[in-house]
Amino acid sequence: MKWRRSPDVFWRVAPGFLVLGNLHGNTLDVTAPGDAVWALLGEAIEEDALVDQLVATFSADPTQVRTDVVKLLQDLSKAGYVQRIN
Amino acid sequence: MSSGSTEAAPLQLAARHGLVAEPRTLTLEGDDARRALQLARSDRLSGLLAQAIDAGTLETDADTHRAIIRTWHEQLRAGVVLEALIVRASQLLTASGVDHRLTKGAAVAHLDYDYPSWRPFGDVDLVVHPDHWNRALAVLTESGYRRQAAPLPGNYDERYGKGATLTSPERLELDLHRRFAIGRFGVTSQVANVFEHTDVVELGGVKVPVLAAPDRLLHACYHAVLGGRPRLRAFRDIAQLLLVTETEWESTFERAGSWRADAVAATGIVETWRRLGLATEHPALAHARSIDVSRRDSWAIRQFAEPTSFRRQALTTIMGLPPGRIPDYLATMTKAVRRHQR
Repeated sequence: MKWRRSPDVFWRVAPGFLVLGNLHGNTLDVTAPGDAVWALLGEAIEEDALVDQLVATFSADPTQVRTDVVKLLQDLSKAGYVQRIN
Repeated sequence: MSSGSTEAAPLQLAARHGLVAEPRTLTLEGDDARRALQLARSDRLSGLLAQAIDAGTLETDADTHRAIIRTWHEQLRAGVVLEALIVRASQLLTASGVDHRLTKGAAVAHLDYDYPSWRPFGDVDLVVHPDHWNRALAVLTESGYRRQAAPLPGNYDERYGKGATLTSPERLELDLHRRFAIGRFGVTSQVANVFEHTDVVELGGVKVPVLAAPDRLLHACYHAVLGGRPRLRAFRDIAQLLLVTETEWESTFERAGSWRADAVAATGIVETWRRLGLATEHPALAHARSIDVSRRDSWAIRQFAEPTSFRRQALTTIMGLPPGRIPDYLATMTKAVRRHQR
């Protein structure tokens, strides 16, 4: 399963900070490492590859990273900021 | 204008962050730290301050650093909301056949800065084609936008004015530009010229037309020189367009010359080097220095160096008008000044 940013999203990143917005002017702050996830979503990416890259970047526990990433992607998908590509 | 004061060295360093190599680290403390927080908020210098601290060329205490970051994040949130406004307004205007170009903050943030986050902005600026001015106002007001000030009498806005500030239904600020300035250097401009070329920025998946780089540079010079008490960010935009975007500055001077506004482009560039404390040589700077700004134009520019009265600035218009049009202008201006003073 692949994920990518929705085309109609507005965003700004700064170190450890990500804010997303939509056409209606709603915004959502995403805490770190959401900014790192967002950077990897610039192109469509397999969920497994996304997790692998984050595990490598943060030297973190793969199971925990997968849990956190899946939860984040589901939340962002519900809000319309990312899209799942089957 | 060259009599204007410069900011302290650490603030200059932040304002030129990323443009040139900095040989030493400066410390931001005391009055400079308080001024930095002020500029972070009012001049939206937060992104550059944060980057300079992050890069280690600027040192400060933890509280000041935190306050700068907090301000920066607030401004980034505001920018995301404003970008949605840009798209909504641009789509409305496009659907009604109104030719327009995004300019200033949002335009340079996306097309000229390394990262848009470095250049927060607090409102939206659109230049509207002169032939479509009334239609633009009609389209937007029909969609719930409100003018912050009533139109000046005698059709002043369209004939001589800078434009109109509107408030969106969400209470956000949208500046529509009919000209880049009022007064001497506004009335000699031919704004239709800037619609000959266009750049594009994609926001939220929508392509928005933007002033071409040489015209972004000219507008940045107008803002820095005639915008009233210009601060560091206005000059940083000019430096960014010249040193990073490598804008074809000859085209900027060509346009300025055809508008009899060489003095504005030259003053903007010379002042940029002084205000930012830049030592780098650049052919645009050499050209700007070679321009002989007349005493009349210097006087006109000085009327804009501080946010003085509308009347004093509007009076400079007569310097740009043919003699036959001056009596009519003075009559129109008198009515406009009376309304402006209410």
